[in-house]
Amino acid sequence: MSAALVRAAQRGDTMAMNDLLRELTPYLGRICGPRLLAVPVGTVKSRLARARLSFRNAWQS
Amino acid sequence: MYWPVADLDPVRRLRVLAAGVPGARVAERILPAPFDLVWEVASDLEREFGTFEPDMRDLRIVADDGGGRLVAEARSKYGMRARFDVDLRPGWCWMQSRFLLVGLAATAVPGGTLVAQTGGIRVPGRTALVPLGVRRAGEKALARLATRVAERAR
Repeated sequence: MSAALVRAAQRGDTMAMNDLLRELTPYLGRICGPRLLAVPVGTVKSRLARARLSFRNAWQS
Repeated sequence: MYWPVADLDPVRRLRVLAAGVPGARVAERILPAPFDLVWEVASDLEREFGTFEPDMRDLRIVADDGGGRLVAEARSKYGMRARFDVDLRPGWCWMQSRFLLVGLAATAVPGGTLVAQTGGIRVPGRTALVPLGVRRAGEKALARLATRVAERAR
């Protein structure tokens, strides 16, 4: 993941956001997979909602 | 050892990306058609983009790196031109020009294909869309896409 890509995403380049998300998804999936299996479905839904909120905050920070 | 991996299907990915764009809204619709047919229509940008995206008349692909990244020139109904960077993959289309953003995603679901659309006019220099009529435009695009898919299925 290049610093230039992160900076472009923070400047408002949605293609860079698209590329970052594609790059990060497998990594996040490996972390989140076991955690999602270990909790009930309702909890998974609320955690996913929180994750979406975190993404929103992360893009803008 | 089995290591479970969570993944985002294209529609979920679109929801995540749109969540990071203030002003963006995601319209969704289930089309009663198989994914392959829906995506055959949706990804045929040169022939179909103007048939379902409101305000767009035609689009021409001017560069293709063979790996899903394209450059396209589009013209609106009102004669304005836009040069889009495009990321086009199965179930996924993300297009950005200086002033416009269009995102389209599709994933197979029981009973058909879930499609999602987002986009609108970009606020220059910011990650944001002008929040006027974006939801209605998205719903209109998906309704027109549904019509085109039904026509292609005949």
